[in-house]
Amino acid sequence: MTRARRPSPQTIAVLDALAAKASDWSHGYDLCRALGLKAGTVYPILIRLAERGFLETTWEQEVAQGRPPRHLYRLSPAGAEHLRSLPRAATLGPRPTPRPRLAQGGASIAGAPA
Amino acid sequence: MSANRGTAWVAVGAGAGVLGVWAVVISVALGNDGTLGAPVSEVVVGTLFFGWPHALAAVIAVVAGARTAVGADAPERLLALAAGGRRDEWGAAMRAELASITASPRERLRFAAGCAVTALRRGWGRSPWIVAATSGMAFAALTVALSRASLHGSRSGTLWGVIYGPPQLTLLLVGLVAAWVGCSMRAGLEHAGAALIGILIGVLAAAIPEGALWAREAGVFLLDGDAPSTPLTAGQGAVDAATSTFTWGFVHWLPWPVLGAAAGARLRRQFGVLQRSSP
Repeated sequence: MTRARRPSPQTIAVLDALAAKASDWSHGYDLCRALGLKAGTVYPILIRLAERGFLETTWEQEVAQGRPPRHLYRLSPAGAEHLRSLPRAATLGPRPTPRPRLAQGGASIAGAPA
Repeated sequence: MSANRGTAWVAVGAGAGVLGVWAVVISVALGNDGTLGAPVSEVVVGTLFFGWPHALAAVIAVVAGARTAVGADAPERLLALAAGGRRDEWGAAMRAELASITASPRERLRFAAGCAVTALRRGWGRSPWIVAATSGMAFAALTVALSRASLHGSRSGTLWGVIYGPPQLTLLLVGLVAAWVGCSMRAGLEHAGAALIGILIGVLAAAIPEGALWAREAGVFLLDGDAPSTPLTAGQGAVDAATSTFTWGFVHWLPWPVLGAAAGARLRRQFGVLQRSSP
């Protein structure tokens, strides 16, 4: 049985970021950079959301030579519904600010492949 | 796959280093007034008798770690070590993501470290904690039962018989079975490691009050029934039970999860069904 628990601001930020991409896929590292969160924060959130059915996951089909296919994520219909059902106050919290050094890299959620 | 020569040397060095530490400990324990003055033959026998599981576990840990921590640089090796033996998609997902990061080595290491923590925490499912709770309760009950039986009987002390032997055997079997069932050394380590924690808590929870009880009612130590030269207080009895559990118990239990997990993984591998990425 899944406990109904108020999601953390970081979880809401990940859900928001994925919702902003609509049906496009995102990478874990791009989410980290865009949200200014560490991998140790983002991946547990992605794992938990996927286990609860709020994320769809797949593997990259077109892969650059010499590296393995990356794992891709996007919000499932259940995830979108979950995000809509969250109390408005919870979703209005301040977004984590990307670290300046990372922001200069130019990568963003919008840069993830479709 | 056999370990390369460098790994073999590191493994031998780790084993020798562990035996060296044991030699110093034995020498001090056997010497007068805590000095290094014990006969060499006694030190060698004591070192080999008490230290061989630790030395063997150190060798196995180095070899298994080297086999698992495969990668082009330190971040990849770190993440491979943390996520090795994992059968779900997340370990592969994090490794693939790391492979795509071309930022600075520091950024790669930062990402790998975060993923490594995630991978290690993810390994602790429900079953290791069930094993830990079961082991802890069983050893607490065993400690109390033997303590009370001896207290009302020979009063010869019982803690020694509980903490030296049964836990090692339990940890070996838990590690072996878990590695066999989980098809990886990692599964054995997780379950036997949890059992180690459970046994320590269980024995301490029972031995501390029992040690105080033995001091009050019999004036002797719970460990072996010895009487001190001066009257024994309940507090001293409790402290002796706790320190004995650590020095004669916990220290000697440490290598057995590794030995059990390695044995289970090796047996499984010999049957050709061990998963590819396991150590």
